[in-house]
Amino acid sequence: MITFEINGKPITLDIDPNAPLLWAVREVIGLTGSKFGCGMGLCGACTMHLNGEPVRTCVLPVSAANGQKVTTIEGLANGDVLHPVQQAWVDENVPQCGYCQSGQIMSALALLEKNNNPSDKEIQAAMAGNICRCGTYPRIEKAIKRVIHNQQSQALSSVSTTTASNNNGVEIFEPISAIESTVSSSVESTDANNSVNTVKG
Amino acid sequence: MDINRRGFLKLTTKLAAASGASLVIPVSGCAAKPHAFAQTSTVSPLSYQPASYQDEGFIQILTTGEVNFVLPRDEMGQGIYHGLTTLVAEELAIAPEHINVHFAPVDKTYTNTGYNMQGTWGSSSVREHYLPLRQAAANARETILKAASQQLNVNRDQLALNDGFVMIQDRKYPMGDFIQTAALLSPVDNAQLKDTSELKYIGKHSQRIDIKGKVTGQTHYGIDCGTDIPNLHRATVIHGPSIDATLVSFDASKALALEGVTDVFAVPTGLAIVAEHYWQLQAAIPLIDVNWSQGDLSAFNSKDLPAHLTQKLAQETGIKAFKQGDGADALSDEKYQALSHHSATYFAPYLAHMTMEPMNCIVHINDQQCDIWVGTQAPEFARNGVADLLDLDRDNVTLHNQFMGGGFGRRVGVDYILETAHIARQANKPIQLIWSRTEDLQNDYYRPPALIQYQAKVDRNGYLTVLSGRRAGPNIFPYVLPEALPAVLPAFVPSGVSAWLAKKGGDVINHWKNETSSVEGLFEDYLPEHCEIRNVTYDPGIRTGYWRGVGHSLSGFFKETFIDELAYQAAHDPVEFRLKNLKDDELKQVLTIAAQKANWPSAPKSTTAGKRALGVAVHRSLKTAVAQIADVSIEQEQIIVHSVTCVIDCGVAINPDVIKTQMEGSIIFGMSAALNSQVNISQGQITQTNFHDYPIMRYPQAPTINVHIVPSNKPPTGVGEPGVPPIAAAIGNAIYAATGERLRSLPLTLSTST
Repeated sequence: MITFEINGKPITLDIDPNAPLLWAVREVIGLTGSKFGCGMGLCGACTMHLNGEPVRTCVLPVSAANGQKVTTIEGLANGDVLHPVQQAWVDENVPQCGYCQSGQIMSALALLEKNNNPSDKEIQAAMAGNICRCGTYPRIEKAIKRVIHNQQSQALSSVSTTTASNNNGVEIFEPISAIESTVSSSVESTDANNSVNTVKG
Repeated sequence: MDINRRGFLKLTTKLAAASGASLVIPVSGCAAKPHAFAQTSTVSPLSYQPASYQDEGFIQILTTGEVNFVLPRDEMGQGIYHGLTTLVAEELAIAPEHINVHFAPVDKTYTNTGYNMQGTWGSSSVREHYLPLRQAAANARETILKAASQQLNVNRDQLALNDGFVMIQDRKYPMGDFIQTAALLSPVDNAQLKDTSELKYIGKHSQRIDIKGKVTGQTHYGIDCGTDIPNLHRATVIHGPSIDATLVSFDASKALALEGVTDVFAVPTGLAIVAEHYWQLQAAIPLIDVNWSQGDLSAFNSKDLPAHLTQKLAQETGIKAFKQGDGADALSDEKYQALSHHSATYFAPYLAHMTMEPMNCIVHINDQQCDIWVGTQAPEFARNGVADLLDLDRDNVTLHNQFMGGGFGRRVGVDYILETAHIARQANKPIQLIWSRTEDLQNDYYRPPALIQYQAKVDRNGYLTVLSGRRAGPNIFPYVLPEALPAVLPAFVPSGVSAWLAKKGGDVINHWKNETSSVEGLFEDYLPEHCEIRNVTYDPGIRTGYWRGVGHSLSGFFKETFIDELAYQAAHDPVEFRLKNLKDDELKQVLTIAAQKANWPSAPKSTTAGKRALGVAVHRSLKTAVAQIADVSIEQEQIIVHSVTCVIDCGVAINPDVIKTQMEGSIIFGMSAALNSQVNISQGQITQTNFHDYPIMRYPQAPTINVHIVPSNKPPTGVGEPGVPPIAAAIGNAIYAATGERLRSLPLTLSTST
């Protein structure tokens, strides 16, 4: 049995511990937003977050997620409200075929959660592992910079209105942390055994 | 009109089935569709509804005001889902995002009129559908206004349709209120299209309507389907190690002992493995012993190709592809002996497509019915091919087309779809076939390699007088014919006859009749008084196919590098030389604008970092004119592309931002071919397996790209491919300007770096 939290919800899988996390999430849990591209951790289409770190799940055994927190592309938006990184992707019309974009967004998000003002070199290093065959890289760059810019203007305006400000980059990710806290608090408030889904793989 | 309605009735049955929401089909592959279809109530919106407005198969408007549009072409990233919907939106005066878009089922209604087959290729979708779809939507608009005019008893001239409402002065009524009346009217069939000054969506910036699903993971590609098909099993195929190897024997006993692995058996293309889950297939593969027998290709090495092709050109004169004036004879005409003569030879290797989504397909055979869920550019080839293979009536095979994770021509081939049908029949289960990246790379329909020997004469004023080109390489059509013929031939033609015809047709192409795609783009843009192009077929037997830009993707490099050489030979500026010799004004215009935007001419620079210069190329393909200027430097023996200026004339710009993204993407796609990619074949075996040894451009290598669209009122042409052909030449020409080294083979490789 492998138990972990996916997008804020606990889940238990009866599955071969060596099965790659990607296939467990796609074929057993049924979340298909994370994609299969290479099977060797070379293209980044399968990128999810494991405790906030970007990981290539086509080569990561599901056992590595045991007791950990997994976030997929499906865990970013709050209902119809897109996460600011997703919204920037929309505003810049980034996707063409779109197949790699879940992975691109997860890599960009992991960078921006740690570094609210990355240099071009830092962006390059963070995004070099994600291939886009349609060649959307110039748009990805614009979208990432739009997130940085929006967050800086937001930080400025929050300073001027003297509301609680946080200059470590947390503000722009408020929606996701809000979801996580809502979900986890709702889980905590109910009987933990009832809220755990068991799926046989 | 009754015929139209009956037509729609027939189509809507297919549509509902193809969209997976009909009660006719017991299982649906893709439940949570990103578009509105699945969000509608229990009744399929595309079932025939007597009270609805419906045309011959493209537009349906319900009494609720809901608009359904059946998209005749396929979406692989090029933006046609948004583009064609924009046309309908414009004439219906409703925002594109308020239209429900459905992928078309296989039906003659959705034939690509440019090719008389149902398929998406040749950058043809906008070109072919621009007026017909606007007309269909304008007819719908006028029929609704005619109904409103009757119902409200006012003159048509006092009414307008806007955002789903019929407007009369300051009052407005929901469009749906008039649909019942409109359904009973004889529809308007020659409605006036909107005047250019009235356009609200065409030519304006807009957000792609398929974008939200693509940033939230909700868009379903072929590979995401099937989660609700009971007993769906996954399969993969191990193909032979060399391209023409055949399976002799195998031992799968260890693999079959693994949990979940249910079947291992031979199929015509290799060895199929079936399991409950994909990871079980991955675990099973290394445990299977397979013996293959080598075919004739075991003697083939791709590194010998340039030598083979050169030898072939020395031995054969080939087939005439084009001749004007005295053709190549003018090269030896005494009249031109005094002119400057130049010759050069260029080469480009086999290339793979490497779509991000590997080939995959679901086939579910249920008695005499078969359902296919797949992303394909060639739905008619696929449906008819599977019907022939399974000996089913074509109407009993339903293809549910999906968003494609890249196409670039790869998904014109239907091998993986037929393979899935084989496996599903033999395993007697619904099957989802998923190829590994290695199988995908090693079983492609490759861009054909080619070698060309150009010769030219330029007069002392810098005018091109004679151009001769002799090209050697494989052709594509012989590999397309076997899959295309079932789409063209009636169902009663036995598959054996179809295969025989395909073989004969292939022979004709290789020996008698030149294939356009082998030589397209080599000569047309400059076309001097005397011109001759010949094609010598040399085909080692490796399957070829359409690769974004097709012949132009190579000839753009060949022609524009040779023209650059001629310019230097004639002591002309490369832009000036082109302007002097280009045959049409649109090409001259895109080139002139590109030169202005890129500050051409700028002298090559030598800095501490290295040498840096601009390079130019201009090329017309698929009716669209594109000029590109690349700013390139050589630093530590590496080719660095800093920026690319791109100017395009594609007629009316329907979605300017989609055009820009297609140019950006095409340049980067073309840069992989220019700088990184070639398929290496050793003793008949492709030696590369994945992205580490078949590198694709990554984020840090991408240049800054500035795209300029020439304003135009001419009918629109395509934008999916024409951005690819110029880029390799623009980069190579910049390298020459910076270093004096002329690179004549792809991928561009500096002599110092080898």
